Amino acid sequence: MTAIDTIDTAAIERLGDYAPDDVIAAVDGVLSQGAGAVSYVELYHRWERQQWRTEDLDFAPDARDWQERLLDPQRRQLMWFMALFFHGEERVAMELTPFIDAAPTPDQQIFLTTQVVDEARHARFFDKFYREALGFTEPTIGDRLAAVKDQLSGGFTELFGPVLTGVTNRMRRGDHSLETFVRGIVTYHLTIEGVVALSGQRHVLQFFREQGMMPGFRNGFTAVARDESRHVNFGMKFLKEAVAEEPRMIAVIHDQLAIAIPAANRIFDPPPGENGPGEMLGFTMGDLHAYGFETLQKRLHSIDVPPPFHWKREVAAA
Amino acid sequence: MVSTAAPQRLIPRLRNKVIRSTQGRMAPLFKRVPYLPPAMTFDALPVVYKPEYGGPAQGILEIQVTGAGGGTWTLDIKPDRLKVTRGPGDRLPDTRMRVDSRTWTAMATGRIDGTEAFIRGRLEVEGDIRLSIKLDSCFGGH
Repeated sequence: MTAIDTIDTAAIERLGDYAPDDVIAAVDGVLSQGAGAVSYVELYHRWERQQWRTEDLDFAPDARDWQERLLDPQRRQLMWFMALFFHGEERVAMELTPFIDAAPTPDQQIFLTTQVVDEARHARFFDKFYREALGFTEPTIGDRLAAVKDQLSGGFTELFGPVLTGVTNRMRRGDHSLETFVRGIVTYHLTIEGVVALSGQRHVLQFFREQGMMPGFRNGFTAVARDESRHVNFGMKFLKEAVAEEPRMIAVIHDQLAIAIPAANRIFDPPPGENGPGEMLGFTMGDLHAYGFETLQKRLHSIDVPPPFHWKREVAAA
Repeated sequence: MVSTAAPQRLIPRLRNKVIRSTQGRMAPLFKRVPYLPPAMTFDALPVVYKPEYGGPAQGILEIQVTGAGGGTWTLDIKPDRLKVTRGPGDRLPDTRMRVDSRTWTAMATGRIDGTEAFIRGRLEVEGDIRLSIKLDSCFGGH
């Protein structure tokens, strides 16, 4: 049995041992089998098997690593990186409920309900990490979110603001058309979770893994990545079915990507006065963006949608 | 007699002044220009180049601009500077971009984000995409 097979049911205290690329390979493995290979009911059952509790995470070693093993510039860069995830999890938990009403079938609605629970758990995971590992003492989660709000990039504000709420507000007003739902899934499941979050998670987890530090965070964040892989599988399955049913949805997917990806591409921009992650965390902004486009190409391939962009890996002789 | 060293000292000072006044972006430079030939944007690139953006990616980026005022330019991107020459370089570039002159000018003046041009299929990329992202930071994209 390979690591990719065992990730499916691994316990929370073992998850941090897995290489981030194996977690992502597990998503791609499901996607490569085609949309019909896994049903919405099976995705729900996977959610039941993959439960975990934030209470089981021990951040005491992480608190020591944070204070004693990381350098000041690394801590600073990680702080704004973490703020994006902390706020991101809280925002998506709030913006997901309109999807439940707008989903075309009961199986999809039930799965999306499990996803709301996941996103709430992810927000709690980050809140516990901020309190127990980073030493934040603000009295409530709202206060802790407010304390790191100035770390958010313009790309974040745009993607989680007008781009995402532009679609979810349409759903709230009763627009339950296929086109609007497709635009929502492209923004949320494909762009935010399938490209931005998984790319960021992969690079941060890789850094901590190589340094052999932050074990509590690695366990929890890998569980988050595993949950999000399940959400991405749901989204890609839905998009593939939508395109098969109505081929004009390919143009809708392309158009929504043109709205969401430019904002997503600016999400990891550092706050004013800071440079990008640079070599302090073992990766660069360019690495993140290149990985993101590669991931996007793979996701689109898995749903039989041609990429709207032209990118060949090799330069041809003129 | 005027020292020949003076202009050499002046250029970095002017460059820093331009970068400060435009916040390291090309778009403000050409805000009031009614017609912008692509060649002029390539002249301005080294001035607004922000080496720190996008990390230490370096290499040769060839840009083929089609349509009015088009041509080929080769950018030698180094960690600390950017050198632009007209025409293709001596060796195979690490990245090649192909774009029509209207899209290129729209990018340079900040009317379209380079990522949006790429995602809409108006800008083609071959090779290491990190170099094209680094270039995008010179416009209004970041």
